[in-house]
Amino acid sequence: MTLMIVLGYFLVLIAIGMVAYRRVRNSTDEFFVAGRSLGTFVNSWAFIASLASGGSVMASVGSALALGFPFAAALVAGAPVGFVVASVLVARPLRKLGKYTVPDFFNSRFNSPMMRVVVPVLVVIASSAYIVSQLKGSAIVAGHLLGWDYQTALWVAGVVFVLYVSIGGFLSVTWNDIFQGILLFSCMVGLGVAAFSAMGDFPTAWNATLEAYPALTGAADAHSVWSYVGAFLTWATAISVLPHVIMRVYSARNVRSARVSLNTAMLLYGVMMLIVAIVLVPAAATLLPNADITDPDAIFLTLADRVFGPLGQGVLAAAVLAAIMSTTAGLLMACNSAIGHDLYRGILRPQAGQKEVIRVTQAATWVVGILCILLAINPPEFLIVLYTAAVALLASAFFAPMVLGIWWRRTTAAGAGSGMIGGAVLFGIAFAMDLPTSSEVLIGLPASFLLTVAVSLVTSSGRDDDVRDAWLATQEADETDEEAATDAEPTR
Amino acid sequence: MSRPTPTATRGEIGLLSGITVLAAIAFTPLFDSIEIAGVALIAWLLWFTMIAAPVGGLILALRSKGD
Repeated sequence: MTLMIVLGYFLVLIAIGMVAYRRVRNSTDEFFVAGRSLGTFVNSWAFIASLASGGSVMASVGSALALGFPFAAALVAGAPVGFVVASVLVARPLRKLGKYTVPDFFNSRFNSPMMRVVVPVLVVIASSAYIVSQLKGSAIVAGHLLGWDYQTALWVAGVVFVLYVSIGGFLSVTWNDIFQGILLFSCMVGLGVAAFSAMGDFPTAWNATLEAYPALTGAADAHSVWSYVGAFLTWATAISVLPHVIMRVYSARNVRSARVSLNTAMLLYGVMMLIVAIVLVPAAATLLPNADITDPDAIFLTLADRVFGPLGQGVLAAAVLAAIMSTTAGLLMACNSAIGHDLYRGILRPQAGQKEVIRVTQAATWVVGILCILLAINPPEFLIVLYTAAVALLASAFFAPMVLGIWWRRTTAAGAGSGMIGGAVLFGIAFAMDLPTSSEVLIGLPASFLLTVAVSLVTSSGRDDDVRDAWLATQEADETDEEAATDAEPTR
Repeated sequence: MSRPTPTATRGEIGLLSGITVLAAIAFTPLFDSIEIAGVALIAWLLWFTMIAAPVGGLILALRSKGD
């Protein structure tokens, strides 16, 4: 039964990709940002699917039991805050800019030859690391529920998502994200209800959980306090620069829709994470007295086995795969856009036509996808920490130059470039040292801000004013007029 | 003529300030010893922030039609 449901789910994903292909094959606007006409309902579910990943869903229960509520809360609370920060600081300017990718913003704002190369390369490196961690999650789920060995599960799940991203582009990713977002949310609520019923008297179960797992209760016990701050700050800042999140902002039909969907999605995501903390964690502790917390990724699935019948297990397997594959697909879309749109068309062949760019992007999807599958064959331990490191690199490199570039008119290309390189390099050095988990961003991010400001002040000679004013001109469109124009368009 | 830089509304500044204050309180070691229902205050504050921040952001976004 479980196998049939999961295989059926894979077929639905591929079919959606093939339908999307008919729409996107001739237009980069359709391929990269779905024609910029996605409505609030669509993007809200797609944002949930983009964020809720293998780490935040599958590892959530086990991580809380192993590392404690305070650290788990610091890890999951940063992302909802990050979406709110993005909706205030970057959603309006980027949607008004009306481009495709994160590198597009830096090109428009600074027109720096160095950034034309560095930004897409960093996007590819960080996104690939994130994809590898997600692939590991998908293989664990498929292996656990279907009885497949790790490598078989890895190749099947990997090829399915590469296939639907390559043929259907961002529209395929979006349609699949809606399906996956609704499936995931419904299953998490369903699992919460089933687990709540199965664990018996809630106060008794809660108290027994706290006694059985003393690490759950304490503050700053599992890690250094800098780990707590770093985990929270990483997500609170990284969301504003995550390439698959930014592409979704570009795809919104208008500024208001982008901002409403960012916040709606995170409200629903916050509810899911509260279900994990308040219901699933005590349920796991009560129903799985001999759970192995040294393998936190497996506890979620074992709990599902315990409270769901065969049909429920199959649907939950599809939901967890949905969480993983939707995030992975979004990241793969960010990677292939960085290669096809930013590197190939932006640098190598500016004269390339739309069809050529789409074909190169589709080829890049396969190359990156297969490389990530190969890397995931021997993956690192602790899923959630690996992908947090990947997003921390992006936050350290991009957050300060982007936010200052938008809100501080004296930011120069030299300043932003220094902040970007300095933030990334210092993050890398900190990561190589024996620092507390997740605390590296506390070095990279402030350094990036300081370098951006200091170098901008030193190099503020008026040479960048024309580029800056051209960027500011894109921000003067009247949002009310824009909404009036786009309200008449159909919502996908 | 030089063009004006975008500006944030008072509501947006208030929301970001509120998040910053909540996070600062959550991570202040002074409150390490406080527990509610057996769980450290830091966890409750972060869970509260996780819900309150999107609610605030959603209210601002829904009111932003004319800005």
